[in-house]
Amino acid sequence: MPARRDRILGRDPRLQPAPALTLAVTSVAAMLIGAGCDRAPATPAPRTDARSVDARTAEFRPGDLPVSPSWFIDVTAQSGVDFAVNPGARGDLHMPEVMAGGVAAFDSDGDGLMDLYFVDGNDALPAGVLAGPRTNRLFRQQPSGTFVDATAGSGLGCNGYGMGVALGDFDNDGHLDVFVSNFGPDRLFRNRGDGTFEDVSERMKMPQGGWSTSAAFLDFTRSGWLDLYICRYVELVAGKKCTRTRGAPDYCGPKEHPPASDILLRNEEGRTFTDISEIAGIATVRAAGLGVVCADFDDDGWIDIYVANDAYPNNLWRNRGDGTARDIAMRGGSALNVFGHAEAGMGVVAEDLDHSGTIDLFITHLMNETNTLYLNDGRANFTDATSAVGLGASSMAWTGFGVAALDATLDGRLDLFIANGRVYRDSPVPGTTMPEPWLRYAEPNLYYRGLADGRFELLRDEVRELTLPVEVSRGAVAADLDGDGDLDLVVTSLEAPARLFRNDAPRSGRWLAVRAVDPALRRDAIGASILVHAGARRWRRTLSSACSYLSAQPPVAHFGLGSVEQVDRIEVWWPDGRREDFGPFLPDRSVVLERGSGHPQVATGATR
Amino acid sequence: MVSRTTQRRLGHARRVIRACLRLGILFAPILCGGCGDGTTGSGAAEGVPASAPRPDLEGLEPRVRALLVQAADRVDADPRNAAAWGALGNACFPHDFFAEAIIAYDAAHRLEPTRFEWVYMLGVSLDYSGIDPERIADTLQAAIALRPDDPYARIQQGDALIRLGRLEDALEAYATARRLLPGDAHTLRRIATVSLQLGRVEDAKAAAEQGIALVPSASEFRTVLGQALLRLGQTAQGNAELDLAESLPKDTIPRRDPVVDRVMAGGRSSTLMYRSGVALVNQRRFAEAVPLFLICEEVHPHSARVHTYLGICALALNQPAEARRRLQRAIEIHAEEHEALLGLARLEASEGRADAALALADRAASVRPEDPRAWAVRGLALGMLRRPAEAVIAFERAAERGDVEAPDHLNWARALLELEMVPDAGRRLEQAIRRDPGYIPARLLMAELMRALRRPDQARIHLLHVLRLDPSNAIARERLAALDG
Repeated sequence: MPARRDRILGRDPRLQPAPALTLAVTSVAAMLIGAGCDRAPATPAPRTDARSVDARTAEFRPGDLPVSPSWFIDVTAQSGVDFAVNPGARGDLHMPEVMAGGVAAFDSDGDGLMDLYFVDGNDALPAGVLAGPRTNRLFRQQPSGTFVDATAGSGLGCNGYGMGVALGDFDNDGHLDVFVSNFGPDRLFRNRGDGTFEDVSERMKMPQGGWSTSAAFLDFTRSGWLDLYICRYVELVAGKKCTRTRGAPDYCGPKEHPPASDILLRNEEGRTFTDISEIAGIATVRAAGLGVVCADFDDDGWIDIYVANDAYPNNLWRNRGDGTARDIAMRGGSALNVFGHAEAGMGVVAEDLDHSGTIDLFITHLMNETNTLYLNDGRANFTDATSAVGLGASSMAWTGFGVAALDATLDGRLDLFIANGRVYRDSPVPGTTMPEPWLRYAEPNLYYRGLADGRFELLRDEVRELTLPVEVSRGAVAADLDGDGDLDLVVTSLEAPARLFRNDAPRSGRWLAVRAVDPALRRDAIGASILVHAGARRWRRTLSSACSYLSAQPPVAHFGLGSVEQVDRIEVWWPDGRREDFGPFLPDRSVVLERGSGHPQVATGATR
Repeated sequence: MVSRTTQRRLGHARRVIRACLRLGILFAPILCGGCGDGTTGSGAAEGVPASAPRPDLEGLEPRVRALLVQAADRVDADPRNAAAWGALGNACFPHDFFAEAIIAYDAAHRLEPTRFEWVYMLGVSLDYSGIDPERIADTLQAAIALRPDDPYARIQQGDALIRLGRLEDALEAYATARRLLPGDAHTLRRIATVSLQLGRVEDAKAAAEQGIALVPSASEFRTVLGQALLRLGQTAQGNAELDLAESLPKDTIPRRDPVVDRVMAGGRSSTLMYRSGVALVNQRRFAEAVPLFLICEEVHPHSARVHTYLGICALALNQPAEARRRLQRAIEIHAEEHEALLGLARLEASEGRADAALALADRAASVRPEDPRAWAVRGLALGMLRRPAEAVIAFERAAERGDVEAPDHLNWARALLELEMVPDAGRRLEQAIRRDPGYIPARLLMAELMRALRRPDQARIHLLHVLRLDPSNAIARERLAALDG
């Protein structure tokens, strides 16, 4: 697919800084560092203090400022996207206010262009009701690459207190439908295929109350119809007031309200959904669920569900294949961190982050906890490898929510982006332009580059446009918005503009975008494992929309391939456990793999 | 004229530099060492601020406010006095002023680098603030250099090294700590988990087995053992251990708290006593907490809170007379001492005085209506008074307000059974068991319920579980025999 660099989201060489500018920045930096001291220190500053600064922020020493342009360029202003999450905060500190902000990237009208759907709050708190104007917004991409607000007439406007969004074709008509989780009644919108949506919540028996957060479509029962897993957070106790350090009023934490149990809805052939949480065993656990991802973690051919819980042990629901699930997180090492502590799980991604051929987990957490990387041995036994790969100390100062695993430079290794923002008041981070009260919650975002040795390196200057907005960020999703073959980023924040970051990272490799479609089901094969083989190298992804925090990505597996000349074959493990091979393919293109058109293989058990 | 783009770039640079200085908020006096205002000049104590940091006193109770002001004033009067800085750190740290404590302990350490307490407390304060593991590890290393036989500093250092990804070094720190403190389950658990992470499966297995010998009921050691066995290819044994681990109570190994460690190891800093006592109560280490609160009582004989904690400890240690005396004294001092009202209500209930328990629970609920425990005790008292319908309502209110404990679910189930609401009672018992899989009374009642419902297999499972937890449990044996008979 040719790159469309002339569009707003395309590359713009004019944005690259000139060396003279670098010099100016360096000089000013040096000047600012010296400001306030009227004489030089008698001895150098203590080593530990200097390192403390370096640990979290960029080093600026005269003469060595990198010249490179930012890998990601903030193109929000040019894009036409004009959206900010309205948490409906009026000083009453209702807990949902600080948790909202889902976003989805998908082609809503089948024109081949990526559109954006943002979930918004309303002004009805503390009541969790549908009230007031319809505030969720759909931005449709134009051929020019800009976006226009297409909410009116789309049917996707929603006036609930919105939290998150999930994508999935629940009626197998070939069009992605939209589930919106709310604090209050959830909504399901059926995509008519002509760019308009129909609210089918009542008919499809969506939950009519409570606090839903992230959600995921998956074919849990292997019926060929997509079931729906909905994370539920807490059962809010009306009127409860909470305090933090030294008695200051603040938002409550998850332990200050009873936890809720998640919901699993079985799809009755597109006609309605049935709540099977009890039968499946999901309802046996009450924890504050925030993030959910689905993948075959133990390689038994059945798709499993992993839930990141806030302050409670995480759950890994192993699909037993009989309509029930068993939580194996505790025994498999993905419930608690290396210290044996339950952490404040927020967002989560399931990807092969160590390139071992198994699906690992990365979860974002609260300040004073690390974000956590659990590496999978292929049998759903996980090891907390966070600090061993360099993801530990640098994340402890921040509260992570949205997260995306993407290969920005196409070097064949996944990077990690984390959208940060506090849930409790603290001293403002310098650089924030947020107004009260959000300036006390605002934090900068993080970006880690994946290295060849399996470690991750925190990037600073290379991603400065991406990480410098100091806002209360929540949702995040990676998608190829401009169709140029690399993944861009969309980030939402509370009472701050949702930002679009165009990926302009220097490319060091090729790419491949893979859709897998089952013609018999007339939809994407959600849950399929896609393995790309090129020579001795191998990459694995799961086809799924569920990712991050409250967010949904297009069901496309994107691969950075490094310098390979050819993809030898693509191995697809369909959700019913059968295997089929496709290929070879040349890189730098999008491919659609249609079931039955490849080379069927005899499945030999857990051979992935 | 600067272009818009340049302005934007400069804006970015400024933001980055401001971000660089963010930690300067924390370490401002240190970063500005040698600057014209607020710091001392050169010498051995380079970087010591000229004046004390002043914590935000808003919302603090007067006694604490006076303590902090006094400590800061003492520093300002003599900023070269290490003891004054250390005392300021000791005043700030227990009240969560970690940034100020770090500055104070750092200054004390610079002025008196050979004194273990200052550098160690600097490490502890950094640990509590939790944002710079490298500095924590370095600081604790400096403390260890001064006192190599201190196991607690090594355990903390190990934790910081894990955060830094230095697992080998962490394991070494834990191994040394274990030599210095052989019976410590926490250290053994760390050795087991880190060994497993490093792929030293046999070492992990050995440590887990030692841990099980030390704390047989700890699910954590069973989990590591199970995982190790799986990796060794012993699938059946591994799965058996993991199954057993799932049925055992979680979080049985007390977490390490450096302040508690220090006080228990003989530290005599009175400012840390109260905090240590509270931490120990939270860890259910009541007997160890009592002497600390007694020392607090010597300093603050009219503190309702200290009497309350002593009462709670006495309750837990089955010393009802002492508990009653302490809790009543706390309520005399402060009529709305919520925890004392709750504790005394429980005591009255345990001694069969349901009316008195109900009155106290009502008082507690009026002081803090959002506290589920007050409603749960009310439910307990009402159940004893044979008012099961009201008891059920009280328990429902408790559950609406937050998490309720396993015994509350059990009492709720009893009230429901009196109302012949058998399925609801069963659900409550399930909740009780889920909350605490090792809660024997809930298991026994569940077994009884299952037997009455003619589901002997289910009853047997619960009775066998009781016997696994308590092999000498006569009731379980008797009922199991009856079932089998």
